[in-house]
Amino acid sequence: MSDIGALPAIETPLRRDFWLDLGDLGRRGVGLVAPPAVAATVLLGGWELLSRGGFLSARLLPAPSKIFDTLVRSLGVLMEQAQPTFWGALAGILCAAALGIALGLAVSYSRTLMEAVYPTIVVFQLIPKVALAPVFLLWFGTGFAANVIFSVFIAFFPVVVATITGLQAAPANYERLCRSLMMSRLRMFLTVKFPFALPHIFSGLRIGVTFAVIGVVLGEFITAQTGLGYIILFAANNFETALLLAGILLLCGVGIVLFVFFLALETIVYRAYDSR
Amino acid sequence: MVSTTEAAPPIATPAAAVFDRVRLLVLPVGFGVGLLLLWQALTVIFHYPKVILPAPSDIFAALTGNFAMICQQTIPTMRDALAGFALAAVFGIAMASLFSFNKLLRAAIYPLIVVIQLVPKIAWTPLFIVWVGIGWQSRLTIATFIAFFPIFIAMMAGLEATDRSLVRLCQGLTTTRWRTFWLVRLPASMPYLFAGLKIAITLAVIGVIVAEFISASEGLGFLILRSAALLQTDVIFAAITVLCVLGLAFYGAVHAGEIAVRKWHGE
Repeated sequence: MSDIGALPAIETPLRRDFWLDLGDLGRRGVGLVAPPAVAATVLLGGWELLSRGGFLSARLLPAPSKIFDTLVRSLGVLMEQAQPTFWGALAGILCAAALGIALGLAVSYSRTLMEAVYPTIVVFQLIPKVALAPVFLLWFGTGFAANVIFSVFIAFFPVVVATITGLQAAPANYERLCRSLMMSRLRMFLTVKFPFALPHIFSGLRIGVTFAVIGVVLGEFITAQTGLGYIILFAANNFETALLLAGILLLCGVGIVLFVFFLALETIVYRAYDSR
Repeated sequence: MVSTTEAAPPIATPAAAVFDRVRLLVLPVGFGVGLLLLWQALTVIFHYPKVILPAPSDIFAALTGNFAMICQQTIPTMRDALAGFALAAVFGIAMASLFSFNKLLRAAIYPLIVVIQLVPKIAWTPLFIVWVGIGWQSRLTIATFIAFFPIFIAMMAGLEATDRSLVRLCQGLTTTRWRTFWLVRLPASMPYLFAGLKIAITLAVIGVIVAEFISASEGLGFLILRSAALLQTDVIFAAITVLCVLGLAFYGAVHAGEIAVRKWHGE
């Protein structure tokens, strides 16, 4: 009797209740989210209490509530200034993506061309390109266009390097198979090389997105006319630290929106490739 | 005793191998020199004003003409960048190691750091200037802050990528956690750590330059911005040339360090 009663216990791992599964998923999610959430709450709470108690100078580090308050009160101005930054970075990364992927494809077409150009691109990747910002302003003026061009220049290199690396990522056996099947170069590229390159290209784009934001903000720092970079620098010069932190917070928002945009693009492209 | 694993005869003849090696060196150098020559030819043929685009020969002349001044401005930039990099390496490695010992700390803090890492860190520069002032201290802080994240994240990834079965073996042999860390986890994390260090060294230089753009009265960033205001484009490019050479030298030094550590560990 008792051994029959024990039977269902063996069956449970094979056929589990849907709700039980969901509960397990939730428990694991809580385990993942709870510790950082608690840590963040403790940090923010401690920060708030310390500045309420007067232990932190409001000028150097205003309380989180004060920053949030400033963010809400100046939201109109901040959103207006976020526009050139957001569109500049978006234009920058899109142009850099188009140019970078195109150059990566062109260079990978011929082995000789790649051996000649690739080291130069890698060297460019390593040098501090940020130092060239004043030269770009000299060439293209101090407006929106100069910021975008500079951001294209900065975001371009990670995309090219990722594209070239990605196009070499297809296993040699696959290429050999294609060749023995007399596949045309174009078809081999479309069906083998490009799909293998996609993860690399997207990781290059993710780096490129942050670089594009940095490029625009740096241009705004130097010319100081519009944009979140201008607001941040303006706030720093006036010791309005709450406004400064609110500006940084909004800039994070800009970065995250662009980042999510490319993540979504990645998902869509992968799905398109899967369904073929 | 006769070795059974005799080396396979090389497929390529020695001459072809030499040609291949020469080709790998000559092609990129040729391309670089070709670019410089094209630049020189274009500026000479079309008479570009020196203010807009100085020819490579102009840049070289500016570099040799102002060499003492450029060197003098290089010292503070490099000092801050290297010191920031060193501090970031110490903090990053120490913190990642600490997290590998304490799971709760890791679960609580690591996600927060990853989120902070997503923020364009250059944007924090004015904040540090408000906090630490406009002296070298703020430049050092910024360089440390920017270089910290790649080192820390790479080290975390490296410590986590350790072969599980090796760790389990250590546990089975009742090795102490400290010895497991020292003998298994640390060596396994080295390739990751050096990848992070390589990113960090270039970022440290960038951080110092940006901070010098915003507020400084010394350093290469200051020199570049001042020369831009004076329309001395050739001096800007001369300063950038020095910056590039030093940046590549630092990168090479980290790479040499990696090779040395690998050799030491392999022996």
